[in-house]
Amino acid sequence: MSRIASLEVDQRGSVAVVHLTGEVDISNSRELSAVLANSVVNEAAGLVLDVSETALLDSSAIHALFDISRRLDRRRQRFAIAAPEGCVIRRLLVLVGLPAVAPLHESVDAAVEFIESNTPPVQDAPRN
Amino acid sequence: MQVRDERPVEPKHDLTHFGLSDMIECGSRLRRCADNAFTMEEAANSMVRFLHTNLVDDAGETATALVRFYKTRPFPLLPADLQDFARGIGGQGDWDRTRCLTLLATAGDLLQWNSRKASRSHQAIPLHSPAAVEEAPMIAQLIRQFGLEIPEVVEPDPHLLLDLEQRAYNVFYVPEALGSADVPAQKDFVVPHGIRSVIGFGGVLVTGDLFAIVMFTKIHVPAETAQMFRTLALNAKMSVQRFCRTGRVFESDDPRETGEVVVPLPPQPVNALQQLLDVLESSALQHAGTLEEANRQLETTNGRLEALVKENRTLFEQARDALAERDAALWGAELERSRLREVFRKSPGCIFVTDGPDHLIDFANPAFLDRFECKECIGAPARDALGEHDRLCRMIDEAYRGEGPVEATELPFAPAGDGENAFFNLFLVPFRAPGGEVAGVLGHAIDVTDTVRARVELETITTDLQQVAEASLAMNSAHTLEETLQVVTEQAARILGAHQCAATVTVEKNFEQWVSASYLSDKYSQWQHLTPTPHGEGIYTVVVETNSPMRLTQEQLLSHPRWRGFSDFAHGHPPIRGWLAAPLTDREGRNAGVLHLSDRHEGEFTAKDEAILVQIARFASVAVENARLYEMEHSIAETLQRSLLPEKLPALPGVEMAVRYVAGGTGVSVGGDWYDAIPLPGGCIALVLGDVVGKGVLAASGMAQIRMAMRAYALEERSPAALIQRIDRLIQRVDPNQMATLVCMVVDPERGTVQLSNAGHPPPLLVCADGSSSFVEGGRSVPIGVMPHAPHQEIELSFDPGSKILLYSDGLVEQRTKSIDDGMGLLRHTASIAPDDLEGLSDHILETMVSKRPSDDVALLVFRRIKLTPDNLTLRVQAEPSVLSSARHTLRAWLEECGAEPGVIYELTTAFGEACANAIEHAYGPADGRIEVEGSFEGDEVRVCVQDFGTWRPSRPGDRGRGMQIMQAFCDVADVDATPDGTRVTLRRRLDKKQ
Repeated sequence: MSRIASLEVDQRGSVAVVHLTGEVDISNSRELSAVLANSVVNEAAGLVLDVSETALLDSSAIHALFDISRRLDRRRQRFAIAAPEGCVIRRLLVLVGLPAVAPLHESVDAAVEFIESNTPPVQDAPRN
Repeated sequence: MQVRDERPVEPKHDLTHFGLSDMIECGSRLRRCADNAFTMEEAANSMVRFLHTNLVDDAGETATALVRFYKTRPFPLLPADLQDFARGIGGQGDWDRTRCLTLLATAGDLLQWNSRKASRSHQAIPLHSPAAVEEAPMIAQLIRQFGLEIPEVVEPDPHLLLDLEQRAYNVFYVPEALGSADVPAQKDFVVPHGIRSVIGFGGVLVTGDLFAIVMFTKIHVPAETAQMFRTLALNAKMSVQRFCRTGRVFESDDPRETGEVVVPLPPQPVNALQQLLDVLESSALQHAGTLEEANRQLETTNGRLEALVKENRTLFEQARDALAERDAALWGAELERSRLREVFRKSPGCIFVTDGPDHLIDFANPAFLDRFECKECIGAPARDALGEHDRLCRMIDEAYRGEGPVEATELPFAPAGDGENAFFNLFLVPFRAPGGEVAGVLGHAIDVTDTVRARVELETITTDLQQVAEASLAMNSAHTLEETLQVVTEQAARILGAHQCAATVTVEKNFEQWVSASYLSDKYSQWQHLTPTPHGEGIYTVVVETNSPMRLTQEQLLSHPRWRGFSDFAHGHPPIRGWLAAPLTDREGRNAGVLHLSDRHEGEFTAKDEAILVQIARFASVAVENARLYEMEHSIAETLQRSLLPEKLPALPGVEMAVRYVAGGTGVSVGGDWYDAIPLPGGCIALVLGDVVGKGVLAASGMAQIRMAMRAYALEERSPAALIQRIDRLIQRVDPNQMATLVCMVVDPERGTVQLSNAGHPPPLLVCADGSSSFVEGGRSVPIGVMPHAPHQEIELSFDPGSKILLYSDGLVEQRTKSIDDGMGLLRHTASIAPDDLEGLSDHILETMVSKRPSDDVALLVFRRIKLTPDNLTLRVQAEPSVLSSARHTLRAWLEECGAEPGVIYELTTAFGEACANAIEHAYGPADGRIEVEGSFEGDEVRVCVQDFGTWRPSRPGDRGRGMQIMQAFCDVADVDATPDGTRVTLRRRLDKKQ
């Protein structure tokens, strides 16, 4: 990831947690998409994006978040965002309607718990 | 079957009897030493081996104990091993500016004298300063005898080089090495190896480097012989000159060694000159041969005469006895009878016998009677018979009274008619009467007129040879076509002794595209302002049309139908006193112009003059062709260089910049200065200004390499020292001959810091907002490409708003008359009193410090951290995603100045980022897309306008719409207007005052 932002990925059980710090704009939003998509393995239950330390997201970053939510949805994986009250990004996320596809949580723990508790049972292999 | 060695055995040259033909042959051999060499070292090796092996004494043994080829070279350009060696010798001085005297090649009697790397103390001697040179007496004396001043060698002034290079080739000569203060190592070298004389010959090369071949001989070398090495110096210089342009000096510079594609050396004017010299030399050799043969015959003849006198002693004594009795008849009869008379009669030499104090002619052989036209002289006093040959009469008298033989060589005898002087060698022997007293004189005169003429001719040719070689070197030192033609006219007029000379170059006989130059002596000084335009009508066009030389007397010229006279452009110009012209030709022999002379200093132009002018024109043609090539190369190099400099600086928020670049030099000497400003992710900027050593296309492409590598590495590396380190490693790997100095800085406008690393470049100037200034001396290290794993340093400076930093190339502070210190002092002073805006400052510095036609490139980059005030904000940034971050940082900083709250700052900044992103999307496409931002703070409302200059494109659905949504949500007003120039977004927001 470029210098204006950095991403840290850690795995909490079946949930991938990505901590995003810094700024994301059109200069690095593609990278954000790529890192987010790659951090979620097929077996994972879902993804938590932690924006509590994020300084700025622009519309292209928001676009990337909508995009990843669509992709995860197709894979039957859940997407949640850790954006505590008072973090600078929260108002923006609410403004653009992201909570409709990725619920906002007060903490990473809460978000992880949300995903784990809402994981649908593993589907049986399709019958032919 | 036997295998025979087919290599021809090279003739040896006896240094004890070193003649003109030896000189000419050795000269030609030295010139060819470079023929198959790829580096100067190879050529030098070939030269010293030749001299050591082929100069012998009269017993055929090597005459030299040791022959060495020395050359000065700037320390930074030396291979690493020699740099270590030079450092080992030590001394005080700035290594980057020090020249070293390096041993390029050596050959000698001892095994260890045949490898330069075996030399214990001479591999590379640093010449830090004139004072340091004085401590080495032989080097100092050699420099002086070459006609140079020591500072000229230690630190040659590039502006005086041309003059120096032409003036300086000469011989250093120590007749008696033993005990001489100029020859060191008396105890270890001179005494044990029996060194008798030392001869050094060499000169100054176009690079300002001195070269010298020094021979330590085991025989005494007389001054006349030493003088002949002057010509050899010229030949050696022509041989090694060709390596100067390529910089291939040491074996390690050999392009084949590095796997580089071997570019053939550029066409050398020397080749054409060599052909010319070959012609002159072969005729000189012929004359020298004639002369030497004649001299041998002469010696034989004299010897034969003496032998004759000895052999026929009895006869002589009889004759003498008869004479003693004053019996002329008897003497005559004796002679008549004797074999001696027959011998005398048949002798081609003039033989005569005089008798008594009045020198009555007793006998004269037919050759004498014929040559001196005195058939009736027998019995008459010599003075009457030979009246007009007064010197001969006096010599007869001298032999008679001095009672010993008298000899004279090449005594001129005025001829009876209009013919030219004849020359005789005279040999007069007195003979004695039985009583012992001198009775008369036997004389022998040999006509040596042919020999003398052959020698005079040879001397003339030798002089011509030298002049022509000098002229050629001068012509080929000129860089532009016009300069070349100017030198051609001056040299032709000088060599042939004429008052006027003009050269005109045309293209395809088309006189609309002409370049010409003329030389006029003082006699025609009042006409010097005349620059007649060749219209393709005058007599010179005959030469162009026929492509052959013309020679006319004044009368022939005036009556020539194509002669137009001067009436139309030079009223009252005196008539042309004789005219001589030769065509200039291109490589294929087609006409390329004309070189013509008029008004010979004395007499009319001769056939020989014509032949010489044709030769001069021939190599002037090559020089002209080369000058054209160089001009072409220059323009290629300049175009290349221009195209490699950033067309415009990136507009970056938080700082402002100005640059100036002035191309220096002429010909191919385009420099390798460059600058660059690279926006880094996160709002920092890397600023680079550097100078690739060397000139021309190679330097320009070297600079391109470094610049591109810098741009690539800058994306990953933000420490300037680490950046330089990587560039250094890269350059040493891909192009070991490359060397460059540079300053690299990473500026963080937000934090107000500068990280700076300086690889051998002049220190940047820091001018603080309060006007105080200082050079940034820290963070310095060696230039790039000189030392494997060189440690590059960096320092951090704080850089307050309003402060300026000036980066510049040495061309700015090394102008002609100033020392670097003076130049730097002047820069500091100029910068402190210059206008505050950066463009004005840059102009002022150039006007003050740089001449109209600087000899070296000048690059200047000035930048400043903008001081933000709440009044207003102006930003011009490149329409590139990478600048967004720093644009937001700048806005954020400004909003803080305005007193806005963090939440408001965040929202406005986000909205502003959207506006900029919007503008960037519009501006995509046009090359110089930029965005202008203006912010103002009135009352309690902040207003920010973002203007782009792109063409409107419909925004992508969703994405942009969301951007608009964000702007509107985070601002009180967010308007998007299409303007004639592009699109303008206006954001307005009332600041909620801090509680």
